[in-house]
Amino acid sequence: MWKPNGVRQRAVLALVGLLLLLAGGAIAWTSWTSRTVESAQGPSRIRDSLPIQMPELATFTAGALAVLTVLALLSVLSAFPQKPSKRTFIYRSETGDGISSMETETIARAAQQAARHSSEISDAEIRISGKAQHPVLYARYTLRVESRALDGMNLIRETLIPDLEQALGSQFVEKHISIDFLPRKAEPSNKITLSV
Amino acid sequence: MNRFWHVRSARTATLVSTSLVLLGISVTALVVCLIRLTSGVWPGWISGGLDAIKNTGWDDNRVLGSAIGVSILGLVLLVVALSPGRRKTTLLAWDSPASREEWVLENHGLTRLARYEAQRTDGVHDASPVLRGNRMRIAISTPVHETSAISKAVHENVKAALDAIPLAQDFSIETHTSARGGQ
Repeated sequence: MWKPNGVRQRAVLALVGLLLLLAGGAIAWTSWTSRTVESAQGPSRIRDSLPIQMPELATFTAGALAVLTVLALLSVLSAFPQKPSKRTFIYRSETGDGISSMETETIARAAQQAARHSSEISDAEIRISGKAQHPVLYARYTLRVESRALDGMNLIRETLIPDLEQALGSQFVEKHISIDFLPRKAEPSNKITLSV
Repeated sequence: MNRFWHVRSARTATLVSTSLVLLGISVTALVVCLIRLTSGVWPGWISGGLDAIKNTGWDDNRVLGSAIGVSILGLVLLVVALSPGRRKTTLLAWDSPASREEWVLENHGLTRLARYEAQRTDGVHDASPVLRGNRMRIAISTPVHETSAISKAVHENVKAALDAIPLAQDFSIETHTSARGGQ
């Protein structure tokens, strides 16, 4: 159920690509044009074009490299995918004299166990997020490939999820359900071997 | 409704590998600079390289070649970032953004189902389905020399299995059978 931030990652990757393209292009252009200028003015060394006599250059360079290091590190860390966050739902009584809380992880775990006990479902991963009045369901169910797929899917849609909503006390405002199949090598239903 | 499952590739592997390379280069260069600042001399393991490039000119072929290489790398990263990328899931007919319900089937789950149905067909030794867009291509190996009946049976079994699932799109099934083994 891990999910990265696709938009942010693509934006960072596009930015890095653009910077490399521009930097490489600028150096290639300078190198190419210096060949035509060379005959008139003589070859020029790269170090003659840089302000290396400037005493603060090393400090500036170290500072820029430190910033690049931090940005690269943040880029790596931000690429780690995340799961939808677990929640603690807090319920207040209408008369105002009682507060109860519910850990959604407990209900999700119970729902996972219930799903695994069915013959059609091999595994279930459930996470409940959102708020108490607006819960959101994230779930992945793995069905046994040898059982009827539609039976398993109907079980999820018509029994398991409604039971989960009943246990939670409210309907999900959003549901994100993924179905997968457990791999299994099949044996042919009727195998005939003829030997002559 | 923001989709959770039915999304395109986030290019995580490309970004992480690029960032790790940049991190390695920047950390190494930073250490070299700090050593230079504190001790006043370049580290021994890099001074040889610095001497070699000290008199390199802008017109050097290595400079032009390296710059073109960096540009190409940048262009590749830009294209990878901007190209759409494949989705790893298929929508089910129950999917309804208006009702804020997202129902998907994993593509590799779909190929597992197709492989199972193909393998349990009489006469099939092994099957390898590959899903590309809305086309499923199944490579079948069988010891039977007359492959047309096997191919047709696999096609019917897999089609029946896929038709039993409430998919939002239809898939075309192609079978390619090769006779292997047998006597």
